[in-house]
Amino acid sequence: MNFFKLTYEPLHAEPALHLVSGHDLGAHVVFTGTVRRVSKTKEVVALEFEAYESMAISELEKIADAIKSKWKVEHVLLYHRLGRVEVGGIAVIAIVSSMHRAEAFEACTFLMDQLKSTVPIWKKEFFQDGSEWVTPTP
Amino acid sequence: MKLRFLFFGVVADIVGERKLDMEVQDGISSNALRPLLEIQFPELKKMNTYVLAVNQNYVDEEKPLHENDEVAIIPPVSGG
Repeated sequence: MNFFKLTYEPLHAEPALHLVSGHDLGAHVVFTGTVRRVSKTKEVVALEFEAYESMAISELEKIADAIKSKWKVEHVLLYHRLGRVEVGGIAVIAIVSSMHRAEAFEACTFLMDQLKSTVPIWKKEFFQDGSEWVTPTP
Repeated sequence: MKLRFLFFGVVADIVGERKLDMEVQDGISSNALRPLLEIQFPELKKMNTYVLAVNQNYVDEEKPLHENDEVAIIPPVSGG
């Protein structure tokens, strides 16, 4: 199954993991992306996320389809925060579940790489003295 | 015909809009969107790069547009 969510509420890994856990799968790779204090050289106080929500979900569906055609994977979960997330807070949770660990690790890396290249979500960094949209460096 | 334009992230800041309905010539194609947008919002030329999506799909080849299509102006994504 696929589980996708864009939310203004705080994220927690444990309930997400519980959702995909069962007796038939041996591997759940869980990635959490948290807000780092230092970006380049400046001190960050918080991030703010914005999404084109309907398209973000449809792009996530495409990524999950690609994962399932490439690896033997049972579940793909991607939760992403919207709005303001303070330093240390969870911005994203990605989980891939499969029978064995190798495909889950590979697919979870692929999921995060694709998330960062095609899913219409943007982050703005807030510093002590201002803010700016993050432009990814190629 | 009418198209609905959506602006996100740094693009929304640059053009000062988030959502806008615009009358355009009937039957224009997706290739006409960029020039049209850059006339309406010259500030967009300051953007090094942005891509377009029509009805929640990235535009990767020329296609005709229809009444009420939703056109999104998408700056480089930075989720995760």
